[in-house]
Amino acid sequence: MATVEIRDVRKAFGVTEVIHGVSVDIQDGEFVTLVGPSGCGKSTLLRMLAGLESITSGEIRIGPRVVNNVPPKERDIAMVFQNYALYPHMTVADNMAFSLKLRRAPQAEIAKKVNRVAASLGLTKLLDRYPRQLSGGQRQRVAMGRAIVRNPQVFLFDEPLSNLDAKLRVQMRTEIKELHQRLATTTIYVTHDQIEAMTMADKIVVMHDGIVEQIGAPLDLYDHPDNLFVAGFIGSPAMNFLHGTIESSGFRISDDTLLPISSAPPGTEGRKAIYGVRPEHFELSSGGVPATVVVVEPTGSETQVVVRLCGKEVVCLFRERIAARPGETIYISPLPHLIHLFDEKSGRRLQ
Amino acid sequence: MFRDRVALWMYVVVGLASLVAILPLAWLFVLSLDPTQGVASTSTELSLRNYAAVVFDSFMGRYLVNTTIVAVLTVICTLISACLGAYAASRFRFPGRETVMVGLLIASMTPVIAVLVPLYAYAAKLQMLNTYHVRIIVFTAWQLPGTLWLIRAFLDAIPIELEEAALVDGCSRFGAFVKIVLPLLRPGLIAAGLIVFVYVWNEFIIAVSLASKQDMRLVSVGLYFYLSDFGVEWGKIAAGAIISILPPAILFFLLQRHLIHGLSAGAVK
Amino acid sequence: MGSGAQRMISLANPRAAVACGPSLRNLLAGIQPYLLLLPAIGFVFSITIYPIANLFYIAFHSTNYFEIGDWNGGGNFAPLFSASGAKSFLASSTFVFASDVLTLSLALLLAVTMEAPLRGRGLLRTLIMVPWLVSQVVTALLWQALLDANFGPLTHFVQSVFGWTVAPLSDETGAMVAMILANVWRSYPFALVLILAAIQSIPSELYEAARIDGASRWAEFRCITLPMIARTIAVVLILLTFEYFTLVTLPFILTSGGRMRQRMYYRSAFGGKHSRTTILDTQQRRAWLCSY
Repeated sequence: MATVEIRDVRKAFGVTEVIHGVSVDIQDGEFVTLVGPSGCGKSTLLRMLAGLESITSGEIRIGPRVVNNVPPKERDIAMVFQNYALYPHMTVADNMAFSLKLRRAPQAEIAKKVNRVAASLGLTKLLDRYPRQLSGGQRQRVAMGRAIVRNPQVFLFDEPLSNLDAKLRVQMRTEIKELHQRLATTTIYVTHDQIEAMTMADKIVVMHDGIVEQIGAPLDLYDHPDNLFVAGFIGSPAMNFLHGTIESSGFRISDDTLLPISSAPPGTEGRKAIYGVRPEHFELSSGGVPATVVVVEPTGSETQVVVRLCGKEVVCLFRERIAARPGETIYISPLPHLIHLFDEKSGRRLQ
Repeated sequence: MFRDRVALWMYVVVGLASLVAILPLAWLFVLSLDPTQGVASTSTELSLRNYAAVVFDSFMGRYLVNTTIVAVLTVICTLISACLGAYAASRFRFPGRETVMVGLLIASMTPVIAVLVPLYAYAAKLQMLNTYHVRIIVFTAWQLPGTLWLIRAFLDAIPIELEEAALVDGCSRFGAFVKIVLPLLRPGLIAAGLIVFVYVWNEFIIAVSLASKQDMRLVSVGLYFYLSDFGVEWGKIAAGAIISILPPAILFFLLQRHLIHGLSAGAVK
Repeated sequence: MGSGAQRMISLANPRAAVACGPSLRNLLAGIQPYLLLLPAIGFVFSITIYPIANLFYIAFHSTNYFEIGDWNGGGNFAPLFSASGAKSFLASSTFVFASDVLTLSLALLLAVTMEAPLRGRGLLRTLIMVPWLVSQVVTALLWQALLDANFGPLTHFVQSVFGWTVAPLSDETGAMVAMILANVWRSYPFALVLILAAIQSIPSELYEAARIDGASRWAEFRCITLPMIARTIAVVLILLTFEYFTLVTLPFILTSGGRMRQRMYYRSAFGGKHSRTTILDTQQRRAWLCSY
C-alpha cells in the first residue's frame, strides 16, 4: 500500500521560506501531477519526497511510515530526473541493474528483471550501449527502465519530458500514462506544462509561490477553478480576464457593453469583479457584443481569433472557419453558464 | 598553392621545435655511451660501460628506489587529500569556501627557498631529517593547492544529479562517491598524479636540504653530488642523467593522452 | 555545478543560499566540508603558511645562527639595498625578462602552428613536451655539457661557423646567456600547453567569418587569436615570472656544480644563517611585488 501524505510541510533555505505549509493526500496507485510556473516549489517538494532535501517542518508519510529523516535509499522510491542522470561509465544494462546489484540480488534474478523491463520499453537492442550513444528519447526510456526495475512503492518524475522535442514529448506522454495503467504504482509527476498535467494526471496539484492553489481532478480544475491563478494557468489558450462591475442582469465592462452572466452571486451586485471566459466558450451571435478582429490564426481544426473588445484584447477559439479579416467587426457572445466571476482583490471565485 | 606553402612552413617550424627539444637529450645519450674517461671525445667507441658503472658501482639503484617510494607515496597522499578537499569545495557551499581556495593558491605561490630554512630547522628539531616521511609531507603540502584546484575543476564537471540518482538507487554518500564519481574522475586523477610524480622526481632544493645522507638521497640530489664525486667524467654523469629521465619519460608516454586531455578539458576553461 | 544548485538559487534569496548549502548537502551536518578540507589545510598551513609567518618574524630580528635576538627593524635588509644587492637584482631581472620574452614568443609561435591539423601532430606534440619532463638538475648538467668550452657541441658549432672562440660558462654574460637558453628550453612546453588549449577553445566560426571578410592569416592572428587568448597569455606570463624570480636549482647547478667560482646569482650568495634568512625574505617579497 503506497499512499503518500504530505502534511503542512514547510521548507526554508536559511532564512528564506520557499514552501509555506503544503498539504496533499495521495491515494495508492494515483497519478498525481505537481504543476506550476518556474520557481513555485514543485521540484523542491518532489525532492523532499525523495529525501534529497531536508524538511524544515511538517510531516511526510509514505505508506504508514513517517519518512522525514529516512535516507532516500530506504524510502522504497524511484526517481526519474530531468536530465536523466544516467551513469555515463556504465552500459544501459548496468545502469538498470545498479540498484539491484547494490541490494546484492542474485545474478540470474538481476538479468531476468533487466531483460523483462528492457523488453517492455523496447530497449533490448540497446542493452550494451553507453548513454552517450543514445538519443534523448532512448535515454529517457533507460531512465524510466532504471526506475521500473526497482519495483518501488512510489515513482517520482522530475520534469522528465522537458528536454525532448515536441513530437517526442507527445509520444512519451502516452507511453508514461500507459506504463502507469499497467503497473498501477503511485506516481508523483512534476511539470511546468499544464497540458502534460491535464492529460496524464488523476489528480493535479497546482502550486504557486510555495503554496498549493488548488487540488483536484483535471476536469474539475478546468470547470471550477478556485481562483484567478488556477483559472489562468489551466487551459490553453489561457482564460480571458475582463475587469468590470457586477449588475443584476449582466457584467458591465464599459458604458455600452454588458456581458451575459447566468446569475449574479448573492450579495455581489454593484461590486467590482473580474469576468473570466475561456477562448473556446465564445459563440458568434448577431446579438452579441461587437469586437474588432486583430489577428486570425487558423490551425485547421479550429480558428483562433484575437479581437479587441472595448479596448481590451480577447482571444477566441472557434470550431468553425471564420471569414473575417483583420479590422472587420464580428459579434461574439460568451456562453453565460460557462463564465467565471472572481473577486477583484482576493482573486477567489465568487459562487 | 598558398595553403601548401603555409603548411610547409608549419611543418618546418614544428619540426625544428621538436629537434630543438630532442636533440640535446639525444646528444646526452650519445655522450653517455662514450666510455673514455675525461674530456676528449674524439673516439667513436660506444659502450655501455658508463651505465654499468652507474648502476652497479654507485648508489643510483638506491636513489631510484628512494625516489620511487617518496614519489608514489606523495602521489597517494596528495590525491587523497586533494580529493577530499575538492569534494568539499565542489559539492558544498559554506562560508569561507572561496577564501580557503584562494588562500591555498596564494600559499602555493611561495618560493621554495623562503621556507627552506624554517623547514630545515623544524625537521632538525623533530629529528626528521633524512627520513622518507619528512619529504613526503613537504612535497604533498607543496602540490596540494594545485592538485586541489585541478580536481575541483573536474568535479564541477560531473553533475550532482548522478550522485543523487545513486542515493535513490541505494548507495550511501560514500558509496556514491566511490562507485559513480571516482570512475568519472579517472582522467583528472591520472593527470594530477602524473604532474605530482614528475614534480617529486625532479625536485632538487627541498630534497637536498632535507635529506643529503648518502643512502637517503633522491635521484636529483644524487646526480648533483656525482658532479663532485665523479669530477669531470661526463660519460658517467650523462648516463646517470639519462637513467634519471627514464621513469618519468616512460610514465609520461604511457599516460600522455590523459594528461593533455585532462589539462585542456578540466582546468583551462 | 549541478542543476540542483541552480534550482535552489531560483527559489531562494542568493544571500541565504550561501549560509545553507543546497540539496543533499542539507542532509549532513554543516561541519562536514570543513572536516573534508582539514587534511589539505593542515598540510599546507604547517608547511607553508606558518613558516612564512615565522620568516617574517625572524627577518625583523637580529639572529645569531638559530637564536633569535632583539628587534632589528630593517637592519637585516640593509645589505640587499647595497650596490652588490642592486647588481644582483638587476641580474635577476634581466634573466627573468629575457626568459619571459623568449619563452612566450616561442610558445606562442609553436601554439599557433601546432593548432592546425598536421599529420603526425600527436607524435610531434609529445616530442615537444619532453623538456618539461627533464628535471632542472639534468637540464643544468645538460647545458653545462652542451656549452662546455672543450667538447660542447654548441661551442664547437659556434666556433666552426662563426669563428668565435667562446667559453660561455667562464664569464658573466656567457653564463647569463647559458642560463636563459637552458631556462627557455626547459619551460616552454608548459607555456605551450596552456596557450595551445586557449587557442583551441576559440570557436572556429570566428575564423570562418574573418576569412569571408577577406582577412589574411596575419590579420586573423592579430585580430582574433591574440585578443581571445590575451587573458591566458597574461596568466602564463605571471606564472612564468613568478617561477623565474624564485628559480634556484637551475642557476645554482649551472653556474656552480663545484666547478665555477663565478656566482652572479644573488640567491647563491648564502652567507651565515642570519643573512640567509633576510635574503630569502626579501627575494620573496620582490617576487610578490613583481607579480602585482
